[in-house]
Amino acid sequence: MDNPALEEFVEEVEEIIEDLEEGVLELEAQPKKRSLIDRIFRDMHTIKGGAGMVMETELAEYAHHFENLLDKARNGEIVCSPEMASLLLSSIDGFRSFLDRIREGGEVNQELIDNTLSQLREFESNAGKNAASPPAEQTPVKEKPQEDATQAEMVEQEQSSSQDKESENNKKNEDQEEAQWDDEDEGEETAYLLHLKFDPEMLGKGSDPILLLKDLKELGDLDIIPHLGKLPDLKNFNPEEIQLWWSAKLVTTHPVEEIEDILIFFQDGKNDVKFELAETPPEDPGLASFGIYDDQDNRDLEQVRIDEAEEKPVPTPELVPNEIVEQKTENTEKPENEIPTEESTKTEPPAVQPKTSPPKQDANKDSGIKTTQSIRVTIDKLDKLQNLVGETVINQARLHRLSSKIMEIDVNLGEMLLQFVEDNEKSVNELQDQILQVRMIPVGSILNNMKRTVRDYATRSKKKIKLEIEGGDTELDKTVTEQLQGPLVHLVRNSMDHGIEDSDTRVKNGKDPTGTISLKASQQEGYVIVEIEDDGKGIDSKVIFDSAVRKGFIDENDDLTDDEIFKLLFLPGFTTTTEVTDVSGRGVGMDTVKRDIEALLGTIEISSELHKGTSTKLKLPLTLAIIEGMMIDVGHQVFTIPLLSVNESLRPIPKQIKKIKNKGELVEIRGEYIPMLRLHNRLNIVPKYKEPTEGLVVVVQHANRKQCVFVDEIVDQGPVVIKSMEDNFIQVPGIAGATILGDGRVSFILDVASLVN
Amino acid sequence: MKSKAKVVMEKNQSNKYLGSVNLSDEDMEDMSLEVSYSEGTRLITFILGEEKYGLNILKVRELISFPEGLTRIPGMPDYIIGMFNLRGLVIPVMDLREKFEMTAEERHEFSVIIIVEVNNKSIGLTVDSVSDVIFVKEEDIQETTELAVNVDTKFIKGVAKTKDEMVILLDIDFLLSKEEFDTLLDDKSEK
Repeated sequence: MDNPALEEFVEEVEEIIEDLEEGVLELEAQPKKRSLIDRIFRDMHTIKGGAGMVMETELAEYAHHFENLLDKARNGEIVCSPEMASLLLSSIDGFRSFLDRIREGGEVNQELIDNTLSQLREFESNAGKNAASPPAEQTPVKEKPQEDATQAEMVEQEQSSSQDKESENNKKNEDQEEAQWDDEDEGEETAYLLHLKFDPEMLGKGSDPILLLKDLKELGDLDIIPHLGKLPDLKNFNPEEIQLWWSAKLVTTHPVEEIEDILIFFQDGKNDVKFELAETPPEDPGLASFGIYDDQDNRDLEQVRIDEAEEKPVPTPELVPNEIVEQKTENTEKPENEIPTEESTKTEPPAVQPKTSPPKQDANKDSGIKTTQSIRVTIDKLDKLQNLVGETVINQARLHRLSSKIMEIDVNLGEMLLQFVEDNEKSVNELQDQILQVRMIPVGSILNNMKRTVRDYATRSKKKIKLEIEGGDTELDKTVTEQLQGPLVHLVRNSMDHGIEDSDTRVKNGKDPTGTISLKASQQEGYVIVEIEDDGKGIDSKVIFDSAVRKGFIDENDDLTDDEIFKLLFLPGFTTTTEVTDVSGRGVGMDTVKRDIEALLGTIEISSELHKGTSTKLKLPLTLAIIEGMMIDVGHQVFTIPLLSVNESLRPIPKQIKKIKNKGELVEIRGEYIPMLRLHNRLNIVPKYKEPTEGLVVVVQHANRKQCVFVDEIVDQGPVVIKSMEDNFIQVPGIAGATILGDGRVSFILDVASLVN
Repeated sequence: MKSKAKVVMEKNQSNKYLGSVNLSDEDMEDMSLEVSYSEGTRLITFILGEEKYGLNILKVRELISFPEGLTRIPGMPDYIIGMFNLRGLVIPVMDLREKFEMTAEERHEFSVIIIVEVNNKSIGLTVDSVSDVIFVKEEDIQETTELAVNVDTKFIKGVAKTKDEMVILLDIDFLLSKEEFDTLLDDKSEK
């Protein structure tokens, strides 16, 4: 296919077919919506016209058949039924087959084409039998002249993609209009004023205003006034351009729709074609008999027009700005008319409202919004985007350093550059924030899932439980949100099972028979807090303590605060329930939850008051992709420790360091002895400092275990983007991931769990 | 106005379309490479020590000069010389000389890292220098492991003979296979 016109045609038709398909599907739902039929008709007509132009006669003929069908629908001869919709949809398949042939050669699916056509014939003959009387919308709009006086209504210009009007089509329209007219009784005469201004290049597009005028003339008495104002001198005259425009008055017994049907093909692009109701039916229809082809001097006619204009709001104000006003008399006329026209539009009684244009525009809007609301993007693409933004951030940091260097050489230049770099930094930071925002989804979806869990449990047990949800619109990284579901179900079940008492007990204890579990999500300083609260019996710290002693987790002489006791709940294998239910109590409870939450780089805390209730607080980072990190230096290599795991950092004095034979070193911090790890030994790096008293000790904590980590120094602290080691390599022991530092270098994120053990 | 705009737009589209046709021509060429794989292979050849090696060009993602900052991965054997940042991706680099237990050579201006993509992982390989892209016919490839080369033959797929030289075909899929990577962790435990 090396014919560009053909190529263009195929692309256009592909576009139209999409619109057609959408239109037909909408029409199926709203079979009486005229704007939809019009839209489909236009689409079909454009395909036909285009096909004719590129000499695809078979396709043009095919489209012609369906155009006929749609024309009947427009005239109300056929009501759009589901059968018609499927017929139209199969026509679309036919068009596609034609397009395939044009594009790739070969043959059209003749079977399909023939099938659809025979279906079409069948449908039409069936429809012909029960030829419906025209629906109500079809009855002509007949106005009482007095009312009309102030009711000149501009028909909203509709956007149409039809490009041209072929004489063949005109013929068909004429025939049909004629036929319909014949059926009709002589209606009351209505006068319309038409404003016909065309795209100067219209002739080049295969269309001709004469066709329009001819068609209009078929409808009744047409009184046409040509305007010569823009006509250039003869030497500048281009016969292929239309410089004339026309005003016309049409007196007809035909319904307003028929005028629209003719104008519909011209109400697009650069054409400026409008019509409105005239004040009165003309007393003298004979005026219309002058020839429309005359290029005569039209002074007199202009005068006639002005006379008319004095009575009715002919020139529409909307036109004024765009045109050069040729006649001074006209010029003075227009401002007066501006206001009444505007007002009359508002006070329009419904009867005069043409049923076509406004809903049509609405329909277009509707479908437009539907398609642009959201798009699906794979996480993969987002990751790539995020990588690129990350690169930009790094380059930004490089630029920053560069501008400092330039500053040393040339202060002025350096400052200019710095200014620019700082401006750019704002955009880059914003970009980074936005890209992270894209990954965020409201946590409400999973909170709402709990409703079902609670409902199911409550119906099975004797307990009455109500679930309250707060802050469902709090946003959290999609991955975090998804992985939060499991722990959340666990915690809610725990509350239902161990927390909320049955109604009798609750009443006995002076509580509302219905227990309440509330889920609250909120955002606090870069973290999302999810709280699961119940008003149940609470946790008896004494029971926990005894149980822990029995299981050997603690010594019965240990002195623990309530908080410390509640933390025991997270120990693996710890469970207090003596009975195992299907909901919870299998001893794999809270430690699993804790592990899951920690995998999300979050923390979990339990607080409880006996007989009052229990509250579990989850603190989660907004995103998994970024953590707060502490960058430490060991032997000039920078590692990152998740800040969440860092308790404190200090430079110990010699007497704080205790060496125990075969057990390593301990650091005494406020009476507590914490084992110390020389990170350089673990990482096999030659450090800058040999002794912790020269360097620093970072105290990290993982699952109740503290560990001192001896490093050379702390370099920085801030958010880092986590990159998986496994993406391009393997999981390396002791390393949780990698990140890219401000200078573009890779830094490894230390796995605190492995440091501690 | 609209129809005019539309025409212009469609012209643009058709230009784009033409553009993509051009692109797909290249794709076609690539595809024809795949298709003709049975008859021959396009290889990128590089020098390592005394010998010339080749690997299927379809595995090569890009060539880069030696990056400024490589970060050593703790606990990894010496031939994993570190990771670096390639436009936001963290990519490991394997020193082929080290891997093949050749004598280490000073990096010079021709030192190149070939980024290969195997099993969706991008990995950098250091080579002394990249020489050429050549096409070898199937019949010129000798799949043998009986070779007098300095490299452990398990990483060698065969030898391709061209008019004036011999190119050792690297079994890149095996070199960067999961099994091989798993030995990284064993290597470490040996140390």
